[in-house]
Amino acid sequence: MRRLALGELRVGDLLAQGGEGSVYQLPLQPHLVFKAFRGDADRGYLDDLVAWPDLLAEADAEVVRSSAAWPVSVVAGEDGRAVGLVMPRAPRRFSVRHRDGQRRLATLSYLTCDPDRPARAYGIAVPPPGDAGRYGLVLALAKLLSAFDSVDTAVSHGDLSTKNVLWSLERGPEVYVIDCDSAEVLASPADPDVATSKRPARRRAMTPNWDDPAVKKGDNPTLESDRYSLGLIFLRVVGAANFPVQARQRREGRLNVEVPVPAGPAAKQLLDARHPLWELCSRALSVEGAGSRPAAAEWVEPLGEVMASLGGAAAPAKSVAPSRPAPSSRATDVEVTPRPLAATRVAPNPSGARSFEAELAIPPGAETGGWRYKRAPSTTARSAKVLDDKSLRVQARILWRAFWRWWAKAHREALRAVRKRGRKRRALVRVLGLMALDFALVGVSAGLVALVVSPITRG
Amino acid sequence: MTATLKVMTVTDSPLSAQERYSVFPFYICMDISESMSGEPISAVNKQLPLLRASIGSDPAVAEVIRVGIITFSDTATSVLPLSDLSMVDAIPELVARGRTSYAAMFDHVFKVIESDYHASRSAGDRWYRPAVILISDGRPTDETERWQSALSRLTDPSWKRRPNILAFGFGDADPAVLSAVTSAKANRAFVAAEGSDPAKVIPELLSGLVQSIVSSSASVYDGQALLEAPQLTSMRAIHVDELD
Repeated sequence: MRRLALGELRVGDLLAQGGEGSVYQLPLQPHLVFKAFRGDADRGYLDDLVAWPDLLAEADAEVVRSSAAWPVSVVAGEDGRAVGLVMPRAPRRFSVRHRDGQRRLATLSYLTCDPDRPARAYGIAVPPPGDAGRYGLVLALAKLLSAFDSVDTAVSHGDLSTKNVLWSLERGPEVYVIDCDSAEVLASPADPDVATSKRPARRRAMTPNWDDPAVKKGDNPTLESDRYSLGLIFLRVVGAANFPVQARQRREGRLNVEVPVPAGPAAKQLLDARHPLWELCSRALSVEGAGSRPAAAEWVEPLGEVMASLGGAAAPAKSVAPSRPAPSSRATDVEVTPRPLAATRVAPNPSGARSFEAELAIPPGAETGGWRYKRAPSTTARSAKVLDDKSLRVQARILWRAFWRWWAKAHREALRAVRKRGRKRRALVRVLGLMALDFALVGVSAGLVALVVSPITRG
Repeated sequence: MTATLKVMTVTDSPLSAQERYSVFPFYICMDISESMSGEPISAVNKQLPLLRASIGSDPAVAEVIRVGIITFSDTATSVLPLSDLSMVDAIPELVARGRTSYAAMFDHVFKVIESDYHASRSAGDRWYRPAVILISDGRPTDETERWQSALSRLTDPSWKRRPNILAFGFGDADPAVLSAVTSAKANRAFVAAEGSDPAKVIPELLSGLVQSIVSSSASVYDGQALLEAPQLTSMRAIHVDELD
């Protein structure tokens, strides 16, 4: 169904409202949403956008289907003009559950900071720096972007920002890119008229902090901007920090970044400044060499290799030709180099090594009545090991809570099933199962109590 | 030759994982004098948790925004010290009491900005100029000279950390006073229509402010902190007159 009439859709509740339009639920198709445009839309352009995955090889089309909210239908009003698009909704696993029980989209911001922060603030365990999952997420994005760029008529997403790139580790590292309706179908070099005539007239601004400094204010992002974004996302996700690189690039032109590499099975290869990933990242972030930023496909093999040495699931993809950059294509304005994590963390920092207490900026002598902070950890410099233990503890706490939530829900539901009229067989089986579970729980608790009590009574 | 020169003139300190964006501090100064008791204060208490839900729950917003809540009546108190809202569990409930001392509030804000700034600096945080958001339903009950001198210390051009002030008034608030507080700058002082119900004005005002603060986080990432005054249907900007 590439084209739908507005009358054919049953439009549900409003989900979100933005500058471009409003997004609604579709009660009959809960996996899809309807985005209604505020202004006029170029129907020919939208038709091209929806039909674009047809140009791809089946394997690439599958990558786009599973990792991007690519628009599936153009919705037309009574007069035939395009009024909106039907797009897939991000699957539930691309969300995180905060301590307050609410689910929120799993944006990149949870990963681009010290992992201790989401753990303390929201009770969310994220993979520690150096974890295979972090490399796997960048690899998943590289695979999607190389599918975007796998045909002559390529597309550029144009705003790969924290809010538009969602992540999940539930079924292995996966990304889900949203806001694809502002993507641009680029002119094929062989047939430049195909897409240029239908280019959207609208301005496509990149999100501050996720923008490409090579794009002048007011200009639209390009295919090379997506390549910049991939390098930036690699730097921030693998480095577990929100490196403010653009400000530095705009101010000084030159950029020299140090990425902390924690101890681990991949540390030896990654601490070599000539490792292809650092070279790729330098070229991707280059402004002077914006035209020769590496294609997403170039990242696939080295990322796969690092994952393999970390014991990650992804085997190196041998189908992609290895593409070591020729010396002439090295970035002249950007240098990304590794640093051992312990050294970058503990060494006195001229701008002041930060602890979380300090960040709260509690004024000395401030009244402490009436407000509560989350429990603060000790102020000692944290090594990767400590972080690991901490996230394990957080994970255990989350599992413990999840178990009791499930327990309460299962009992409520069983009770409801027994009370309901009609056939009781399944309900009875459920009750018996829960009774067995409760019996086992009581047994274990009694055992634990006995362990504590018996030495006391004996004494 | 030019390339070499360029390399030599650049400050080449590497960008490390510790480097962060500067933060944008907001001080919300809430009038809790006796006249706020009843519906107005309960409207405030209902709306304040929104700060945490909207600013604290989004890691990208929380990272660059700091919020402190100061209440004032006979005296002024920091009920929430300047905080990263993602690290705050609960926002305290406010209780109305006493009179409306603007002087106590201005003095307190001055001291708090000074100590917060130094605490943040020594922790490595850089600041944008702080914003003070004054919300009041009455006129100052202290002597005019007293609150004016406290105000002039807070807004003294020679004090580097002087805040930008936005003022919102309803109930008995005096437009002339609010205009003076904001140094008669355009689009800085707002007042509710006469006779409007504070219990209706407060929710719109606070949710509008939260939205303004959330969108200001994008400007921080853009390298310049901007705070747009919220669009409010129940309040109007106080007219700023032209000088002769």
